[in-house]
Amino acid sequence: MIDIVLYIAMFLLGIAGILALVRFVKGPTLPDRVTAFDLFAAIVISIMVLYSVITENSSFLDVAIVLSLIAFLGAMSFSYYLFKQTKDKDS
Amino acid sequence: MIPLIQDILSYTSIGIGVLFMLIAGIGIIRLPDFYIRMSAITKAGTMGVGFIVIGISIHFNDLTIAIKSFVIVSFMLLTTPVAAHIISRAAYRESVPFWKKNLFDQLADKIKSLKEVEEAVSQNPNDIGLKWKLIEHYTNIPSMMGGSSRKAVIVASDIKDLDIAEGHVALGTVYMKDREFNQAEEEFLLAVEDSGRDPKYLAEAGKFYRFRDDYEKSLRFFEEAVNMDPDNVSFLLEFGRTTVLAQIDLEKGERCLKTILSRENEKPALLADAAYQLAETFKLRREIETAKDYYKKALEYRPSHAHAQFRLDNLK
Repeated sequence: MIDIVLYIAMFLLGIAGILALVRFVKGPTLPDRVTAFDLFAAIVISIMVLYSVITENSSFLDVAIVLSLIAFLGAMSFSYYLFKQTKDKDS
Repeated sequence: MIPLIQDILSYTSIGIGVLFMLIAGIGIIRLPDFYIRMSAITKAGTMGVGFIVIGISIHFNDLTIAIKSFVIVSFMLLTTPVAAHIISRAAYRESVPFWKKNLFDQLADKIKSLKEVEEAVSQNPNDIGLKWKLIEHYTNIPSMMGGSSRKAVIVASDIKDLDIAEGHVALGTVYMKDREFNQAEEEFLLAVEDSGRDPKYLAEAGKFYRFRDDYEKSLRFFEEAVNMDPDNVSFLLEFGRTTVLAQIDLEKGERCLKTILSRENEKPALLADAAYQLAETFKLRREIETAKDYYKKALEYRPSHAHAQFRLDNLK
């Protein structure tokens, strides 16, 4: 029973991930892509957490923690880059 | 029995989480502009991850995993809003376009009027009123979009060259907005001294002390202003308002406010405010019936006086 629920959940998360990727490809601006990447990272974290239930192996949770940290740092550094870029353009 | 409940709880939680994730995915495709998409995916995405992680920690029913789940959830709750805020800020600076049905962009309006005022000031540099407007803009607009208190201080110093007392008040206002109250206090006192205790600047100093909740000093300044210029209605009103806030010298305040009300040909909005403050005075003294009368009077002068209406409804 739990397996069926988890597979359906993974399938739906996969659809959400594809939607995020569509936005990533379409853009049209860099901030759009950064947020799409952020959502994609959140979806991957969820999938990873569900996978740890399927395999009954809780060490995937540590990977999820690290991934959420990296996603945050990625978003931060991208916005820092954007700030720098517009500052250079202004001056 | 217990495993069954545990399973049901964990399935439901995972199901809700996945639903939120799906909503976030649909939102990022369907919503019209970057800022709306941003708000949709940060809220739904965080909720989704949170519910899924809670669901699996119910499924495992183990302390270590519960702690790890707690770390993941709290980390998401901390970082997602920060990341969303910072990306939106960068996007606004990059002037990523709004949706075409977007109704207003207050910051853009402010920046536009800042540009206009800057232009006007450069054309007639001796106009103090325009410079006051410029100072207001500089202190209101966030620093990333061109506002800065340093520029405001420079403009205030320009005013000081034209009119010393006015310049001190301008500097004081800028420092007050910056929350540097010691410097602000100095400037206001200098303004009072340099103008030879002009009632206008006494009232400004009184307003500053009222802002700092130093009601005794504030009342002293307002009283001096009223004594020097007993015909000025706005000083009387400010004095009355401060007595109500400070809850001291209520008799004096009452006399001042009644003086205002005795002049029927003043502006109705001013009279309404005076009647409202008088009603507050009577309410503080627990003379509820008189207070009600004055609230009604305030509403007569200005029917849209929301505070008076609210207080009157509360008393009933």
